[in-house]
Amino acid sequence: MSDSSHSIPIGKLLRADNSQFVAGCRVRELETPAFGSLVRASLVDDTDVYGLITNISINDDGLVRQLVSGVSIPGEYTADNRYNRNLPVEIHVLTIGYQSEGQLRHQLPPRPPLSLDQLFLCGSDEVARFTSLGAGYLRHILRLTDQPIEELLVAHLSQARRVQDSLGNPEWYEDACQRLIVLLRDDYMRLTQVLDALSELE
Amino acid sequence: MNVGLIKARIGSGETPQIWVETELLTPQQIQTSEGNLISEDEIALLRDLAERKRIRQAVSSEDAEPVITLTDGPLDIFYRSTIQGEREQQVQRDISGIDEDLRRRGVLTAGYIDKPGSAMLSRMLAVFQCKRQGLPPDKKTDGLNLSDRFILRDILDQPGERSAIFEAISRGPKKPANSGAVAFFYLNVSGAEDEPCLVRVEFPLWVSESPRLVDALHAVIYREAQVLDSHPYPYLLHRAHELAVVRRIEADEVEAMLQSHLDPQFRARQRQSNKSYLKGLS
Repeated sequence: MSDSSHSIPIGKLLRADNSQFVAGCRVRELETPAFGSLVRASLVDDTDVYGLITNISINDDGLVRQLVSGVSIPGEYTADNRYNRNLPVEIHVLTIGYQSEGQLRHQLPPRPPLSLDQLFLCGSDEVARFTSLGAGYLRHILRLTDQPIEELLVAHLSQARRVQDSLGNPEWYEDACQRLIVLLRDDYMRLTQVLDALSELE
Repeated sequence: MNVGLIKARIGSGETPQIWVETELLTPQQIQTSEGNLISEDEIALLRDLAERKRIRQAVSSEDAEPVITLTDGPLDIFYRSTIQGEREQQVQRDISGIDEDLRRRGVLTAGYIDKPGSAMLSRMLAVFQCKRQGLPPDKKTDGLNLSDRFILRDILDQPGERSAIFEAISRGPKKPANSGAVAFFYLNVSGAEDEPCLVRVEFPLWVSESPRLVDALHAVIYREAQVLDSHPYPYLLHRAHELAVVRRIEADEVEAMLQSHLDPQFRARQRQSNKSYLKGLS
């Protein structure tokens, strides 16, 4: 299991399968996780499952729908709904790798995380360690069909690039882009969209 | 028995404080001296008492005035109770103590009755008519027993309007002799002019001696009801109910826990009938 002493717990698992999982967190914890961030779920058998945040959804219920149709909502009742009521924010995560017995892999884990396993936000050290293994994990992102993968790539690669640049590895980002070109060589339209989005990082 | 309490500083923007207290009643608490189970109304009385106790604990000397407490239902919690004997007297003592303590601290306690069905004004008018005719006040008349809402619906037709203040006179056997006097007004909590929604707001009679407090209560209740303006009801009262409500799935789980504590093999043996299981497949 990774050293979580510097990791920030941001939620607990609600449901999962081998390729993705969903964690819930309270609104107060929402300040930390961001779209495209690298996160880690620590399992009881000391396996760590790594993923990228692909979506953060805030659920509503009957009372919230009543309130939004009202003329005005006092600030204290907005706070009541955000911080007192049990409406969890859902963090959707795409699995992109795992670590077991000290070995890191960019493959899907043998078992998904379990309910209430804790979700941690990976710090720079973990981002560096995970991405230094190569850019092969990007293939998991390209498998997504119901998410804006260009936006996810921009968000994640922006973070990863910063970390790798700080370690003196500017070539990492170029390698990652080359990897994307290879993976999307048979899908010209998608490749164009991805490269167009990544141009914002220049 | 679940009690939910929410405390908010109106206009502060601060997150309200919430409490939920759960008490599992003992067999002694839910049985009469003859060994029968007490009624639902008596359980409700005990819950009302628990709410009042919790409210008293929650009011702090540091709270900005006026401090207003709001509970669902009439202020007189004995209106539906059949509790008797020593148990009744104990509850009366507890309630009287709480009421006196809150009065001494200047706390404005109020009861909110949504869609009131009472006919107190009609009876008041009937007594008045009897007196005018020189008849005994309890003489039954052939007059219609109209609900208060029916009488007032065309009078309190403007959003936010309230009626005059009335004192509730009850000489029924259920009302303890030493319980505090209760006043009330009707209030149109609707936000629309052509759709009056009348509720009754009850409060201790001593509050009616201060127009400032009555106005404050009127304003706060109306403002609260307008937060959920499509179905006007005090937001904080709804939240208190939401905190206290025990959902079916929670009740089933508690029951299963109790059963398994009594019988460790309970969960293993518990099963639906085959008929019930197959019905659930449809």
